[in-house]
Amino acid sequence: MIMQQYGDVVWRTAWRLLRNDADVRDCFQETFISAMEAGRRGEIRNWPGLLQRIATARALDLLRKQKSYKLFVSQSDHDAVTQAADPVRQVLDSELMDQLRAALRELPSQQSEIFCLRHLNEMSYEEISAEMGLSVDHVGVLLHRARGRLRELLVSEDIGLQQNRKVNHV
Amino acid sequence: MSNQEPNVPTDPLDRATAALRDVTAPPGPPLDLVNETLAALEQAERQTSRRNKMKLIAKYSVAAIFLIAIGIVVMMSQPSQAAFAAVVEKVQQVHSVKFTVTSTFNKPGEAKPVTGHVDMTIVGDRMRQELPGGFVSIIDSKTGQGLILMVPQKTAIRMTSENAPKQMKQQNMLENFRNMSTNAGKPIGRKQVDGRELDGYKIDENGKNMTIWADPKTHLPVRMEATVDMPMVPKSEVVMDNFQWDVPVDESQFALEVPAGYAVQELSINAAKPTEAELIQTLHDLADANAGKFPDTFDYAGVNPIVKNLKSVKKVPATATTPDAAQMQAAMKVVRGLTFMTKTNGEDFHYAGKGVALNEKERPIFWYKPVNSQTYHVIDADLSVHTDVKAEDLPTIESQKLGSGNKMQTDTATPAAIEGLQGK
Repeated sequence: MIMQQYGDVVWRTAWRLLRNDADVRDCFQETFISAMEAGRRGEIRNWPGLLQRIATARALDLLRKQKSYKLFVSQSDHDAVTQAADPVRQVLDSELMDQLRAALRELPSQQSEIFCLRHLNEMSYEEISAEMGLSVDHVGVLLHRARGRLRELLVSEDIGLQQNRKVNHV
Repeated sequence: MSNQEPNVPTDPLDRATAALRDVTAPPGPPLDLVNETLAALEQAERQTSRRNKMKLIAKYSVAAIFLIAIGIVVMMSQPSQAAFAAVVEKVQQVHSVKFTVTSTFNKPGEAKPVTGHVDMTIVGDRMRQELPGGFVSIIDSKTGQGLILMVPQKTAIRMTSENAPKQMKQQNMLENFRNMSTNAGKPIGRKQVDGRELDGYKIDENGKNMTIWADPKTHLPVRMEATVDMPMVPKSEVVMDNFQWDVPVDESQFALEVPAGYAVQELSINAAKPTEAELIQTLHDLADANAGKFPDTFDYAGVNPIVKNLKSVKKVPATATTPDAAQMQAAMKVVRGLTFMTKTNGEDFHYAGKGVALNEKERPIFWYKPVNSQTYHVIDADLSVHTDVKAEDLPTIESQKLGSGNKMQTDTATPAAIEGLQGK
């Protein structure tokens, strides 16, 4: 029932960050198993919030574990580009997405998690605060730090456009 | 003039975020993944059910480990400086006391607080604690010897403590009262408890907080309230009541001889002040038991889920019916590291190991100011130690500030700790 209701949210959360079928599937399964264990330990007040938090944390873990993170354009990206009304913009956006994924690997886990929950999953500060057991103010502080660090990383040579020139089509 | 399209952010981060947020994911989850996940959930449910049964006894083992550790560590806390002359003098004349310790604490992930009880009897230097589940502990705080009995399993663990300074061996609640000064207890007025008028005294100094409610006629405590805030247990509100003073006691209940028919194990406890080397060993062992990553927090909440994965503890055979002293000995090392944060070791303790991998270079995970030092020690994830670090050169990363010495003065293992570790 829970999976029927929120499976697509978990799928999308995982896919957005991982873009690798095997990792996305792992993330999906592990999220529901972890959520089941959490449900056994106590009453869950916000299933979608919990599932998004677990899926995000797990996806970020998997993202960091990818030993050589390759910036790649998947077939679906490629199709999207060729079918887009503005292919140039689509390519730029695709590069930016890869840069952001790479930069998220460099952040402290709590910061990257909060950034994703707020800006990708559009959870409110209050929801994030409740799920992560932090005060709303603390969430705000960590989000501010995360954004500052991501800005630095996006313009750095390590993760910036130079690396994107090595794009592989897969 | 800019040619930017409307609604397209110009800031690279905002644009990247918007692109990632709005990216089109393939439809999903696929049916085969849903079916696989449902099957995995069913299997996990079956395994958990079976594992819960098999691990029940192992949990008792872990609980026993901490029971001993907490009892010993708390027993060795420095005595309170608080006193209120008449009460102190009266208690100093007492030979024996019985009372109940009730702890209430919040378990991570549970909405409602959990409550546990321990029955305590003290006669002179000897203490007897009776815990739920048939655990009995007898400790002679003068000699540092003790006995743990697990009655249902007919197993005894004989404890001896090494390196305990003489003054620490002499700590128990009665002894603490004997050492109390007469001016630290602040009167806070009178209140009715169960129809009795009681005088209240607040002890609040050096990070120690306790309220004592005493009978104005007998001058003996009727109720004590305190907050236990120690690294290895969840923060607990503790109430001691049902006091019976100078009641006759059965001497045989304090015997350190092992009852007939019990299997015996030996446990030696190092009661000396924990060292930095032991802290580092604990950090290593916890990371080792946590897939190579340091715990999220360096306290009960962060460490408790990992303890069961310690190599020494993990080897509990599925068929085990009693704790193993060797495993307890090994797990005690972890407890010693957790009790490093005391005022006798230093101040301004910080932990920053969340998500950090063991042996990561140039990544601070712990720093503190050693006692009598103007500079700090910083421990990196590769467990190297940087000494003589100035305050202005300390890491600026997020960290968990750890308390030092904010402990209640009593000589009991808290039921909160024990029940928490039993997973109740």
